[in-house]
Amino acid sequence: MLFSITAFLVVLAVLMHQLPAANHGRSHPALLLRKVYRTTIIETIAGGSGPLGTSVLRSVSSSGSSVTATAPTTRSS
Amino acid sequence: MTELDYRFQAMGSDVRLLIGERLLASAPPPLEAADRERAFVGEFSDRLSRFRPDSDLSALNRSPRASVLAAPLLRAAVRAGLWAAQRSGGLVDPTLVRALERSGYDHSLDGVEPASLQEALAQAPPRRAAQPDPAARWRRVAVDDHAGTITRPPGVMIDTGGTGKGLCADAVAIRLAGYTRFVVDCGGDIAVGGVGAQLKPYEIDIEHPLTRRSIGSIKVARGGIATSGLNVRVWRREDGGYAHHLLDPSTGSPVWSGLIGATAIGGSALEAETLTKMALLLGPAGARRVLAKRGGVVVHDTGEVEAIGCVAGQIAEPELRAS
Repeated sequence: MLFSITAFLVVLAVLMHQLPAANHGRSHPALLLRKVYRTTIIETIAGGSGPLGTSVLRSVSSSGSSVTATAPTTRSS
Repeated sequence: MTELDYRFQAMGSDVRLLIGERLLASAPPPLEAADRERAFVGEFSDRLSRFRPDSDLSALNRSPRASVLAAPLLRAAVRAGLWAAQRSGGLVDPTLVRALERSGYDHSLDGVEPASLQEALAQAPPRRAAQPDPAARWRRVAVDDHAGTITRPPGVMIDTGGTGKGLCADAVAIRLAGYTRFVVDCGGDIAVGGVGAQLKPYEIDIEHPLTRRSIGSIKVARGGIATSGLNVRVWRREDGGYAHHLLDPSTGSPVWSGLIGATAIGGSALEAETLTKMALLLGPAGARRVLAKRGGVVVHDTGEVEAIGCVAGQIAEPELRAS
């Protein structure tokens, strides 16, 4: 009986010693982050506030690329 | 990468700011900077308006004195006009106010529906290139920053509108130097800057003056790009004829050069604006010379689009003619 318990504890100790080593050697699964283009309109002020009295459209674009929501356009004015 | 897209109306046009992330920790957040620049553009526009009696420019033009005390903003704007005149050999002349008024441009046309450009072209005189005014009144205008004055012969009125939007775009661009990348679009006169833009240039669309659709796009990493056209400020005079805002300095009359639109790339928005006006005033042959170095696009009276210089390889458009 005493021999069985001793043998069990020895096996348990060996397993506990080996477990962290096994975990350490295993490669982690790859984590892929994809940036998705997003445009968020923060605020639209119709009529505007302050002395300028114009409307303002503000939005924030987040992207993995440098492409903006709509390209700036050169035009006659 | 995060970029603020901020739009408002000023200078009789749509103004748009694209502002990237802060390059310097001391710079305010992009939205705060955009609000600040909106106020700047509004003040710039109000103080330099030819149509506001309370503007700095109107005060200068009203003054009977030869030498007039002027604030730094007005001095900078007049200097820009003189720079454009020098750069263009007198073609982009800031002293044509009276001729503009005689042509009917004596009040703001903001919000006024333009006349039909096709009808105006059908009635226009034979096409010819513009020439500088032999009198070159602009050479007698002087800005003295030390004394804080502008000196010109009494009676010579100055219009800073021809170069105003380009100058404004450049001024805002300088003020946005603390951001990774930015575009300042003042009614189509555009300044581009920031280290990020040099690494990944912005694609700038070019609008066709007749169809208002995109001709194609040009990649711009720094400096300026501008477009001039006859389609927005064209009107019918009381005598039934048509006029527009780009005058031949040698005659004081609207120019009909064979081109209805021109786009130019420049080292700054001010230079681009000057080059595009030169191209439009000189017509097809002159435009090819003016735009050859930095590249550009012209639109003929027929609506045909012609890419010039290095731009020809950048724009993918089936019916485009390259030279």
